[in-house]
Amino acid sequence: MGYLPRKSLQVLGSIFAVTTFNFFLFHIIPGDPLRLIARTQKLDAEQVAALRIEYGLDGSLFSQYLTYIGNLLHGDLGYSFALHEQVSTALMRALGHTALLLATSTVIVVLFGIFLGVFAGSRQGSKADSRTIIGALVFWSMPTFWVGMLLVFTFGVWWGVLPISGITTPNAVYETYFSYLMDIARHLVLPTLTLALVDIAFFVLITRTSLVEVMSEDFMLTARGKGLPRRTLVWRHGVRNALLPVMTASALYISGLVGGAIQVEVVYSWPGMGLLMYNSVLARDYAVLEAAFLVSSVVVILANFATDVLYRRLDPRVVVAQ
Amino acid sequence: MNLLEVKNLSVQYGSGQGGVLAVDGVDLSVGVGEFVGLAGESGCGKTTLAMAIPNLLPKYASITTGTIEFEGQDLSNKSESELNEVRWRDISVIFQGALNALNPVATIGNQIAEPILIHEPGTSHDAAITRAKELLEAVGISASRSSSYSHEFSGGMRQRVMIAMALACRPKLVIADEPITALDVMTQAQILELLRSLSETFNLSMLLISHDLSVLAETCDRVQIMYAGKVAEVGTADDVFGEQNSAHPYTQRLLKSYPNIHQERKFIDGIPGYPPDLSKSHAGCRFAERCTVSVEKCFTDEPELAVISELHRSACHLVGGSK
Repeated sequence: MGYLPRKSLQVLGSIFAVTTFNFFLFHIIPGDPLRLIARTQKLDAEQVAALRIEYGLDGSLFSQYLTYIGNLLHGDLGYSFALHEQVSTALMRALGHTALLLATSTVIVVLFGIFLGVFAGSRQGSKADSRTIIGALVFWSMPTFWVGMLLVFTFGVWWGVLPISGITTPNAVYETYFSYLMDIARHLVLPTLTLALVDIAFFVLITRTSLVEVMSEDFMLTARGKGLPRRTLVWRHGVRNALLPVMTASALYISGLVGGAIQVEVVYSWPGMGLLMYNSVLARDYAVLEAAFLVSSVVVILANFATDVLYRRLDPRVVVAQ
Repeated sequence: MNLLEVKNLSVQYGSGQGGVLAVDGVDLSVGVGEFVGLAGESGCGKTTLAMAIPNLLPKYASITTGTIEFEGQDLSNKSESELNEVRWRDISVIFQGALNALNPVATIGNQIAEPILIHEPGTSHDAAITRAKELLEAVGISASRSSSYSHEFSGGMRQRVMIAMALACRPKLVIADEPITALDVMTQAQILELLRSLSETFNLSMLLISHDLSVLAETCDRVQIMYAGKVAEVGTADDVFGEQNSAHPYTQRLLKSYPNIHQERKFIDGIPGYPPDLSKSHAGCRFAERCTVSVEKCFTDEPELAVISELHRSACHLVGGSK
């Protein structure tokens, strides 16, 4: 079997395993979903029993599992009583918002991180090197929500130049589509900046360490012996080799953010996955949580899959090793 | 005029108290078309001396004294960008352990073509690749493999790729640092044969570093023996390795350290002890402590390179004394 079909089967297997685990995880935690409904509305025992049948909660755990898988295959993730809408609808909307935040901040964090990492790594031991590391670590050590609050205070409250909440201005009327996009862009600045400031150290340090290691390899001396200008030496031979671990880190970072930008999304009321999960926890909205967990896991699996495929393109040695 | 004329060169690792003088006032010359061998124990400064020529020394090493004249111009005080002009175009290096000397993520064709593109601006990428393929053929590798990666080659073939790469810009001097050490005996013979025939085709001069004396005896016109950062003996291969000719006790002991397969099996005659600590200063001959024929003078006075014959020099107070 070829590499891609085999790998795709593994991906499907992992998704299936995660789905199963996720289902049972949510069914062994204490609490009855019907009691949640009954808490807000006055229901008698008969009505509860009727609801139990209606939601498929009357059968055995295994038959419930089969129903769950069946619904999942139809794209049905259930209904959220807290949001009063289909879970899939809420989830897709949040996923889209998170994807926007994620894509912007990942591009910034990865690109600037690599650039600063190369800057420091190619000057190993210099003052510029240690200043870059210290600077990156200072921001890395700050709690994300705290950096977020500082930025909110500075840019939103003190200078009042940037919006601090939501994805668009409430009740705004847009004359053109462009002004709508600009409004989103303005709302995007602070959340992105917060993520970038804190997380950039991750990429700076990985790139730097990796580059320092590569720079001492024998083939770097060969490249130097060839009389290559320093910039060519560092980027073509050094960085090209040093980027392999950075790519793995990027995949980890992206998959971590899908469910993990919670702090930023909460601070800026950014209506993405993080905020959705946060509110669902407060509202004990198990249906949404269960689906959000599932989506996060699937994203992690897919990100790893993408890394594997990319790795084979970037490192010719990987193909042989398999 | 010699192609390369190194005079009184000293190279120091580190600085101040902890500094190690790895090469200490060494002369070295390589004539046009000449093969010069550089031999000695590990850590005696062979590689440091060779790498100092195109200044490929690590950051913490520095040339403290001396000149490196290549075609009449002194390389020892040139800037990095000036050296980049000379590197590979005029002086290329076959690196020690070519197993790791090739970039793992670039095709060997591109790696061989790279110096051509750098040093001969105006060459098209296609033309450079074509030349890379010709070079591969010249070292006995099929041109079709130019798009392969280094991990797809055996050790001997990687060494051939390294040689092809070293010849890419038709340099005048090739520094071969232990080019065959990591290879098996059959491959060693093939690579040596290849180096010899290519040097005729390309009219190369070569500085060949090896601790295998038989290789140097076979390949080189002249040989320079180094000990503890100094030249112990230099001369034609026959002067230095000839049965009755070696004039330095160290060379004689080195020669005895190799087993002779025609003789009865016995323990080979090594040299007890180790080379001295180069971070300390020395009085007298550096080999004196391990030398079996040393006299009192050896521990107090440092021997000069004494003329024995036209090309033969030896740094021993007892020149020719202990046969």
